[in-house]
Amino acid sequence: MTLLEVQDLRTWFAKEEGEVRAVDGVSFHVGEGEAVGLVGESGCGKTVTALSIAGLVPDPPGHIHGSSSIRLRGTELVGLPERRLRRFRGKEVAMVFQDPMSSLNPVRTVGSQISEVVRLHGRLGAREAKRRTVQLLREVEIPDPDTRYREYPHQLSGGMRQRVMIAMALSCEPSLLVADEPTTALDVTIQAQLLELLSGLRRERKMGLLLITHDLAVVAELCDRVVVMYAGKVVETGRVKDVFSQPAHPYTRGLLGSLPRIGSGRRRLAPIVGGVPDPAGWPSGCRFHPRCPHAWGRCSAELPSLRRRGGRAHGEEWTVRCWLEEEPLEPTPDVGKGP
Amino acid sequence: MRPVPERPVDLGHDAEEPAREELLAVRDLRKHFSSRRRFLERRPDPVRAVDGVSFTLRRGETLGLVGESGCGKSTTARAILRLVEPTGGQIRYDGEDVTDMSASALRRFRRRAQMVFQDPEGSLNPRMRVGDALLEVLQVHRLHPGRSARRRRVGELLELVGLLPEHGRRYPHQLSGGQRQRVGIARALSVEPELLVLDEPVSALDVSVQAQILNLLHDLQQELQLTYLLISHDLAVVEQASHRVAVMYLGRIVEVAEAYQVYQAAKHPYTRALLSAIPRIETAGARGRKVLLVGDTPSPIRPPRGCPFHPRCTDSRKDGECGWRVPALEPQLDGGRVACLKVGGDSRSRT
Repeated sequence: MTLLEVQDLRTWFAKEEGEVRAVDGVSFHVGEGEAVGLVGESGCGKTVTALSIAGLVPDPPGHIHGSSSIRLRGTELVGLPERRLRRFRGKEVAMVFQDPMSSLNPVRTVGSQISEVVRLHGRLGAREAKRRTVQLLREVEIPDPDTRYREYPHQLSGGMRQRVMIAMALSCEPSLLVADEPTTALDVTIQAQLLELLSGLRRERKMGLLLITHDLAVVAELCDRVVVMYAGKVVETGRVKDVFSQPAHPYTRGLLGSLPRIGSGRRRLAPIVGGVPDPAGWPSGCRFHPRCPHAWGRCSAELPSLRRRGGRAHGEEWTVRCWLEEEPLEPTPDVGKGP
Repeated sequence: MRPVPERPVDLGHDAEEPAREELLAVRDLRKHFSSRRRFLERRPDPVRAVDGVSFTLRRGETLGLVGESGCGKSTTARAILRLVEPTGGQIRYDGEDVTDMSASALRRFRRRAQMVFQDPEGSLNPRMRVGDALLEVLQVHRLHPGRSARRRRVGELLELVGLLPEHGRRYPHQLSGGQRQRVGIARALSVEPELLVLDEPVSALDVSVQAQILNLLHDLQQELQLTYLLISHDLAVVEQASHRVAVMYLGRIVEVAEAYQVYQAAKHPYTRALLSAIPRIETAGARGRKVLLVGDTPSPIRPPRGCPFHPRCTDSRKDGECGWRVPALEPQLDGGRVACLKVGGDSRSRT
């Protein structure tokens, strides 16, 4: 069964300068136990997508359109009454952010903060909750968990704090973990430790993972599939090994060409021209056309749909939003659907 | 002749270059930050941010200085330009001793050596049009006398970094991050320096824009025969831009060599761990060949005794000499230098 199914998600913000269409018709899915990477540059809408799923979009100024659909294990979340929504979501979805310091209470010990969550979700007594908390700290490989239980966030290193956040996220045994740039603020050797931890936890707990990041290489390490976003829309989705070895959308190709890579020596890169567009006013037609080296007449006028790549033996789920892909194929009406 | 392994991608112009002359020589540079003694307390131990760093920079080359946060790479850069006063050691620039310069000599030196920061927003006056900010630098340094000559020069500078004349009429907040970094580079270039110290110049930028700035730096180096000291935490960025690479850990250089040697045959256990920790596109789906380091970087206030890396090192003999002897940066057969007791040095080059 599909764990998470997002269909035509539109999250807009009312700002002084007008309506900002941060997420503008996004569809994708995450299978049970699957790891999906949501990648894109700043302002592409990847974080707003994650916040929409976690129910953390401030309304106002944000608003999720009524026509959008976010289904978790078949239950429609958009339009669900607040109380039911919170109960359901709290059980199934947990979120980890880039900066643990902003989500941890600085004047309470990490142990008391985790056990609070454990008690609320598991309806456990104080002693049982503490035992469970120490066990969680051990599971995220925090050395000497009994001591760490009594420490405050500032006494921990950045990597340890992020482990605490992951322990807290695991406490309600979610079926989906949404992680927004979980390793971006960390040094590369600490990042490697956390990626190892996340990949192990996912396997052991058979937990779905939606990883939001700007770092394509982190997606390559951790994810089964990738969803590439540009200017509030999905431009390409597919298995990581397909998309990263033969990217089909010019933007995906541009991103991969821009990336300096270990082992390729001193060289010039092949960047994308121009800068990322402003969410307050997306370009017409295909939103990538002003920066696209292959743009032609149709690109600036009409928005291409997300089509399944056909005629190639590349699996079922490789979709691309580009006029260059235009082939005698029927468009896929249900692009976000699982197999 | 030492054996030179083939490089995967060569820029061509590197091959026929003659042996380069030394522009900057840093010897045993130290910068300790001490906090004030509080009433009735023992004076706290200083933070040994830079603790004996030595390297040379040759004219026209790019030396990449990499390391994780707190390793002292940025402090090294600032101490070289004397933006912070070094605690000890020697800095020679083109034969002159920087540590010992008079105020006027220092001013002349800073025209020859300029710094580019990570966040140009923090170093640009938000209430000044960027063109005027460039103009001001020319006025202060009494370059290109005459109003119209200076205006022309500002136009040239903008063009040099890939901006249009109208960008000069904008305020910093009206520019994108990439455009602001271009202005930061133009400002550094306005005094016609030989050396640019680039401190994380692309870390705050999106990938597609980062590549544009890296290419710009590439082109400017060739066009203006610039020498770069590139500070970055990103090993891929450093490889893409550098001729030679120095790896820092806890205030010291642990390995310095030609870039291809570092990336293809790193000798120091820390360099090897660092390289294996980087997530890579090419290994999609294939994990598990990592050298995972245990624990966090120790504090530079009380660095470990002996080799600063030994508590996290997978190769160290924990109770052996790694725990008490500080390894020196020993020359290697292939021309690089490594500070590791297990690697040792090339006995023939030892005196």
